[in-house]
Amino acid sequence: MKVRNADRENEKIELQMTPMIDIVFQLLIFFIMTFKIVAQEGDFNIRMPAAGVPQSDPMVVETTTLKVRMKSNLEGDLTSITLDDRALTPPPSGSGADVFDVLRQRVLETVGDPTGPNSLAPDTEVEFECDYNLDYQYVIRGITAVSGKMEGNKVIKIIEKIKFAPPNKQG
Amino acid sequence: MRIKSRKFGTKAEGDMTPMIDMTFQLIAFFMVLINFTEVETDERVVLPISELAKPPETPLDRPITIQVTADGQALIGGDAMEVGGQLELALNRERRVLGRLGRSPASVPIIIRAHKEAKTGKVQEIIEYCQSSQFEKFRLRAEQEIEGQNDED
Repeated sequence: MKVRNADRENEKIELQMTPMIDIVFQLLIFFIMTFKIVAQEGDFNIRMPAAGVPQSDPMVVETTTLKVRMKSNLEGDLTSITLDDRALTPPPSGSGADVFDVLRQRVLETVGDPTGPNSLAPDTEVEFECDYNLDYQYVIRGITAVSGKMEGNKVIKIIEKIKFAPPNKQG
Repeated sequence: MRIKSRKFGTKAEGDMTPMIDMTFQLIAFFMVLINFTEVETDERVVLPISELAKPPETPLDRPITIQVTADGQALIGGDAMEVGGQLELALNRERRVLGRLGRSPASVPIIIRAHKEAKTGKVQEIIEYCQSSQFEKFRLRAEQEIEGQNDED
């Protein structure tokens, strides 16, 4: 017994597109609204054990400390920067470099080529002494200058031991 | 003279296929880019920019994030507090929770996300409070420099 309807065999099946397009557009709008370009973030390690904890370890090689002193005005702008009590003079404007490039250069002169075998960088630490009001962005720029440099897309590390001197209250 | 088409009664149907193709491609694009990361962020905090700020290769082991706003308030887990007794209480609470989990505060990294115009002294005060609660590992967070971006201010 043949039940199939012969008339329906050539009939075109039409999909109902409207609900699907509705949903697809809703999804599209959801993703567009939640889309946000987020810049990647990275960290600078600083190790600051609490005062009073004995830190002398006979196995540890004596480290040299470079002192970076950053002074600011009351608005938080950087006014002067010294490395081991030697003032750093900012390069002339228009040279494309700033005082932090000078700081990096001086640190490199002190520790030698960080990729070379005789580099003093692993046994050197940098202590930052900053005015209370100094904008935090200058600290990060200072830490960036002493902790490494970019060569192409590669980061060449210079000094990894970084610490802060106790806060310097002013005004 | 009548030029009107005799097809007046027929249904005009546009081809939907290219539009649906494009829409699905757009959806796929946005789905791939959607970011579900649980980084603690706050719109009050604009990080300083650094060319060396690269995301860590291995994720940190359950760090504590302390954010510092430009006016010197500390934010822990979305709660704003003044740097002082309140912060000390919050840190001691964190230390007790860590103690119950069997972790020592010295092994827990503290991520400091400070606004670029926050006072350095405030950030150092926060570090001191953390030190008095026996935290010792600190990570100062900065935003990666995007090429062509110039931080002149």
